[in-house]
Amino acid sequence: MLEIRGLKVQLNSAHGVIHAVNGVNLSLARGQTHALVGESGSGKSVTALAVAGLLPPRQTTIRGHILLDGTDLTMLSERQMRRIRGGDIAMIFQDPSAALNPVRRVGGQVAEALTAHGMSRREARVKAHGLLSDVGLYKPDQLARNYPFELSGGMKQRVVIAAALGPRPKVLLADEPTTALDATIQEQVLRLLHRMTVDRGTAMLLITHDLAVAARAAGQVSVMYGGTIVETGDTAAILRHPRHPYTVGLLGAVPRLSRATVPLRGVGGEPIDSRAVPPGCPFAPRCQWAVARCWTQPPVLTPAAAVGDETGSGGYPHLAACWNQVLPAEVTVGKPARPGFHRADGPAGRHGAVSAP
Amino acid sequence: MTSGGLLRPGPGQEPTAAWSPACQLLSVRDLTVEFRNSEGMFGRRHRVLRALDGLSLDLQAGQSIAVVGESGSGKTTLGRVICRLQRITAGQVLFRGQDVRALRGADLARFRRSVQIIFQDPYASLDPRIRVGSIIAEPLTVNRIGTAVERRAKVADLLDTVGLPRSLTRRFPHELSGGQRQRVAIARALALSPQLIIADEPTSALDVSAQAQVLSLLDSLRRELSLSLVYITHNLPTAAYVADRAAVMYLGRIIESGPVTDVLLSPRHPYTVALCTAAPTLDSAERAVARRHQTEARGEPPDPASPPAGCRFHPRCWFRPQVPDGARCAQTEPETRASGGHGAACHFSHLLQEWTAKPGCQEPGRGT
Repeated sequence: MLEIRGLKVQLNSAHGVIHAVNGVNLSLARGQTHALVGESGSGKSVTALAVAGLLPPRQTTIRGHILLDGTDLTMLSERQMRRIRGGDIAMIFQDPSAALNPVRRVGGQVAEALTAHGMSRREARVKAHGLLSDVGLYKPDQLARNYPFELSGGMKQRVVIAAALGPRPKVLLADEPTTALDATIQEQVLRLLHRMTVDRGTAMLLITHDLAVAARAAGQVSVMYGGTIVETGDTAAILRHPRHPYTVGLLGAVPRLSRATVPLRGVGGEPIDSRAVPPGCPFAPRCQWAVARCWTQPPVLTPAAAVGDETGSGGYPHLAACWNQVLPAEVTVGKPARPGFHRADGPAGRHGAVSAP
Repeated sequence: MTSGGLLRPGPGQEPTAAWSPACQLLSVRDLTVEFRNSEGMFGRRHRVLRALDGLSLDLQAGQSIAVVGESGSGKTTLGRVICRLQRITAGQVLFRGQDVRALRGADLARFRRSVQIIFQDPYASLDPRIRVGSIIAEPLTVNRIGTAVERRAKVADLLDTVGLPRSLTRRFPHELSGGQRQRVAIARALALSPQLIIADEPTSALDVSAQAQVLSLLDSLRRELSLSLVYITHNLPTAAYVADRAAVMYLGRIIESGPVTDVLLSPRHPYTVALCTAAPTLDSAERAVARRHQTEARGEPPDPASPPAGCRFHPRCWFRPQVPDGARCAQTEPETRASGGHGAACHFSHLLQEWTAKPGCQEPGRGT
């Protein structure tokens, strides 16, 4: 349904060119939820904004193709794009308070999404009440007359979801939809998004920094770092057998009730500066598994060596962009455990000189 | 830890006559805080919102407590009250045996130095026009501690302590990532060698990986500097990484408290169970338990201005349909029953314990 091919986005800021997205390939089928996971600055939000055509055209250079049912969105005029945005492609953002107009009643705002795409006002009002009840809001007729400030954060996000899914979009781009919400409400909203998208056959691109949220909500996961997808596959495969060191780091950073006594590991170091694209793997400076080759040659997505029970489980290939993929036994310790592995420390190790342990 | 200076007791730490280290460092007694909101035309109607309702809490020197709850539970108000940033309606806050409200002059200045706060959003809590070095030195400057040279050395020490390169001294906050900014805020809080740090959702604005770094930093600081930490959060699984004890708040009251692993792994209040299962987790076993038993808080938290009668959690309680006398929950407010330092305010917490111990039903917090 949605296919992203070789997407590259450069943002031209006063401080130089930012290479936000450097060649992303992704495809999304009906009713599927695909999570884009990464730290801030990894390019995950920019990817979604590019799909929605919401990047300022003068300051951005977009290369590659974004195909929605065969139509290349990058070729469309702003006028054609307006018809698609809110119609075929809907977006939900992190902060529901910013998404709603504070001086208009919420019912009218849900209805507006429908009238903007050709429904009559009266029809839209009735439909809006139905949508508010679909998203689990109690007494929708009364609630429709409320202003956003009268609702809690979770209720506002439900209103935003109702407005986004009203015109029956083909693709829903959800950018950190639950990050601003409490844990109990987050769970309800994730469940709601799942039900609504599966029922309507909407494909959802879920953007989050939290692998645990992705694990709960998505069938497939792509992990982004420095503007590229470094690992992609079925959620179960990635959780059980992560092959990219960055994914291993992210998994180690998630707090777990059952392992509260094990210290959190996380990913060491700081995210890269996307103004300068390194010649090799963007993750190499933070990577424990880095070998000489990582500093010079950018790795490409290659099939992860099949391990255990994941083969053919969901049909979605498990790929990782890494010259020195993590072995299953090394995941639990979070560092290389193979005999004879010495970390090539920094560009000094480029010529094969490996540092002593 | 590189600095000897950091480990030496700061100016606020010489014991006072009334206080010995055996006492509680912090003791909160029957604390009530009310907010009055004006409503209606010209604000003629008043609505009283009770953010904290008769709350008591003790914290020993060197111990850390996690205060867990949803938005609106009053956890942030509690943090602000402890720092004397918020007026009290009734009750007492004792710090080292002294009533915080009665402090004046030099005693108040000493109190201000011994208690520091770290806020949620490091994008808002750091002045964008001041360089990192001056931000960290500001508490020293304000309190006229040391010469400029000594302060510079102290800033360098503090940067080492929080794991930031010394080269950041000349940078502005906007040049830093979220995790780095929060570490600057922590360094600033440490500048006066406090005894108690209130950390109000210090990782909520951060990525998961930056959160892991900040949590492990807070944990090592409290151990190495024997600090006490009041860690305020809505994310229950993070509590165990930085605290010895946990207190779960709901609508202005503590509904469960105890050693952090007991609260997390064998909760005695249905609300705590709901918080445990609601947190997104990677452990598939935990997910299965949550789905199977629907241990979820229903609906939204009620309006704190008009809390429900009886047990405040009863309208959202998932366990109530399973108890023999559910009417009681709507009528009488449960007392806190404690054993082994672990207590919960639920009429049926003994049944909940039996229920979680049943075969085929793992304790909600426990994965495989």
